[in-house]
Amino acid sequence: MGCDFYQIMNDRILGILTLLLSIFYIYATTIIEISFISDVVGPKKFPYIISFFLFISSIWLIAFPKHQANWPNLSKIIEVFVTAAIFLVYANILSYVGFVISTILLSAYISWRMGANLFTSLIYGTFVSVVIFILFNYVLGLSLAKNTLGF
Amino acid sequence: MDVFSYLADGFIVALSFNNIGLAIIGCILGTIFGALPGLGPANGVAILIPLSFALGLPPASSMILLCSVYYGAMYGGRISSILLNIPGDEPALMTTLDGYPMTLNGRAGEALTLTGIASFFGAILATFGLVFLAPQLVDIALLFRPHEYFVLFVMAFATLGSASSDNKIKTILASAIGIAISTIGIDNQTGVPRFSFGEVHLYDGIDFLIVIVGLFAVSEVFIFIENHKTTDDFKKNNESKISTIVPNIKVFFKTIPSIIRGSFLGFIAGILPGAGASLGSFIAYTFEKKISDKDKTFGKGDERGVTAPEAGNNAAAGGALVPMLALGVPGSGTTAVLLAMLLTMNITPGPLLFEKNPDVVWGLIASLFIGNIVLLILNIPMVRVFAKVLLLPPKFLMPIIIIVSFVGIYGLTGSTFDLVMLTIFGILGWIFRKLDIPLVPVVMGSVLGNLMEVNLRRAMTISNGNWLDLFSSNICIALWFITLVAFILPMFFKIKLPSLKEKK
Repeated sequence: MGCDFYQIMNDRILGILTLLLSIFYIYATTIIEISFISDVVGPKKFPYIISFFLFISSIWLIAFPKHQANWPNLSKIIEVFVTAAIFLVYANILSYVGFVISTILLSAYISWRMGANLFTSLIYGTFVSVVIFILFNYVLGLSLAKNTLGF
Repeated sequence: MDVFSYLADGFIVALSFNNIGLAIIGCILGTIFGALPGLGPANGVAILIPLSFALGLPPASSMILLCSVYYGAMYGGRISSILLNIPGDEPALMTTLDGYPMTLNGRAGEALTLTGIASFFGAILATFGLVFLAPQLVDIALLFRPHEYFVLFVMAFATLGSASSDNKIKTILASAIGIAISTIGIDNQTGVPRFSFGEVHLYDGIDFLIVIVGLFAVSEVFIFIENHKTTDDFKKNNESKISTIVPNIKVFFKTIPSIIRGSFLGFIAGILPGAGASLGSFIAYTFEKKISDKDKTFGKGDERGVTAPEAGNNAAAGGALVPMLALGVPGSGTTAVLLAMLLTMNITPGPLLFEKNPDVVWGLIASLFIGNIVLLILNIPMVRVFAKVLLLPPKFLMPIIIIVSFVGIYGLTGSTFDLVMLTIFGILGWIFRKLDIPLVPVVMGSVLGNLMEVNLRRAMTISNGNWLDLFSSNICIALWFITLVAFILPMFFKIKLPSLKEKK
C-alpha cells in the first residue's frame, strides 16, 4: 500500500508543479504589454489558450494519478545532477580555457563515469578532444571556442 | 511538367559529387546510430542538425544528409535486435520477436540478409509512394487558408497521443509545455516581448534546436550515466557468429508476400499523422502473424516474422515524409526534427516548398533512391562491419555524443548561454522520461507552436476576429472531425504498443 501511495504521489507532485507553472504562465501572460499596433487576436490570447490546457491537465493529474514510478536510487540521481553541473561548468569555462582543455576534462569525466579507469579516460578524453578540434576547426571550418593561445 | 521530369531534375541535384558524398556519410552514420541501442533516428538527426547548419550546408544538401541518417537508422536498428535481442531503436522492437530466435538457431546471417532486402523493398516502395502521393497532397493543400492550417496543427497534436502513449493527459501536458516554450521571446506580429522577464538572451526565444538536442541527445547521456553499470553486459553475448549470409532461395521466396504486405501496411501507417515507424512495424508484424502463423512458428524464429516488421518500419519512415513535406505537419519525432531543420533554414514545408524549392524536395527524393542502394550494400555484404560497432562500449561512445552536441549548438550562435540552456533541457528531458511524459509532443510543440499561433492570428485577421470561422469551411469541419475521432476513438480501442522499457 505504502508503495502504491508513493507511486501515485509522483503524478500528484508533477500535477502540482505543472499547476504552479500554469498559474505562473497565466500571470506572465497578464503582464504582457500591449503595443499600440496590434492584430485582432493580440499577443495574449494564444498563451491563454495554451495555459488552459496546461491547467486542466495538471488538475487531472492531481485528481487521477496513475503513474508507476521508475526513479533510480538517490546516489544515481545525485550522479546525474553532478554531471549536469559539470556540463554547466564546461559551458562557463569554455571561452576562457579554450575548447581543447575543457573538452579533455569533460570527455574524460564522462568516460570515467561510464566505467573506464582514470588513466584510460584521460587518454581517451585527450584523444576525443584533439580529434574533434582538428576535424571541426581545420577540416570543416567551424568556429570553436578558443583561449588566448588559440586552442 | 510532370512528376518524372521533376524527378529527373532531382537526380541532377542528388548526383552532384557533394550530395552523393553526404548521402553515403549519412547512410553510414545512420546505420551506426540505428544499430547502437539507445541512439535512435531522432537522436542521430538531432545531433547532426546544428552541425549541418553551422557548417553552412545548403538546404538540399542538409536534407539529403539528414534523411540518409533517418533511413539509415531504420536499417541499422535491426542489427542489434537480431544479434543481441536488444532493439537498436524503437521501431526495431518487433524485429526482436523472431530475429533473436533465428540467431539462437544459428541463422543470424540469414536474418540480417532477409531483413536487409525487406528494408530495401519497404523503403523503395515508400519513396515511390512519396513521389506520387506528395504532389497530390500538395494540390489539396493549395486550398488551405490559415484557418485550415491551424486546425491541421491541432489535429497533429490530437493524433499524436492516440498511437504513442497510453496516457493521454500527459501527451496534452507535454504538447502544452512545448507550445508554451515556443511563445517565449518577442512576439513577431506586434513586437512586444513575452515571457522573457527582461533577460536579453530570451528575446529571440528559445531555439527549438536547443530543445531538440537537449531533450533527445543530452538526456540520453543522463540515462546512460544512470545505468552505466548495466550497459556493459550486452558485450558478452555479442559473440554470436554471422555465418551464412546468403539465404536459401526457397526461404527467400517464402518471405516475399510478407515483405509486400508489410511495406504497404507500413507506408499507410507512416502517412497517418501521429503514427510513425514504430506503429508501422507493429501493425505489419501483427497482421503477418495473423495470416501466416498457421504452424505456430512465429516467435520461434520465423523468417516472415522479421521481414514483415522490417519492411513495415522502413516503409513507414518514408510514408511519414509525405505529410511532413507536403503539409508541413510531422507525424513522428524524427520528422518533427527534420521539419525543425527546414524551418531553421527559412524554408516552410508545404505547397510553397514544392513551388519555390523544387531542388530541395526532388533532390531529396532522388537521393533517397540512391541512399537506399547504398544502404543495401552497407547492410548486406558489409553487415559484419556494423555488427562490430556494437562492441563499442558506452564509455567510448558517450563522450563523443555529448561533445558533438555541444559543438553543434555552440557553432550555431557561439553563445555559452545556449550551452546552459542545452543542459537545462537535458535534465528536463531526463526528468520527463522518469515521469513518463512523452518527449515528442514537447519537441513538436516547440517546433510547431509558432506556426500554429501565426496561422491562428492570420485567420482571425482575415475573418475579423470571428472565431466561428474556424469551423466554416468543409475542409475545416473534416479536419475537426478527424481530430475528434483520433482523440476519442483510442479511449475505446486500446492499441498498446509494447514499449522499449518493458523489453529492457
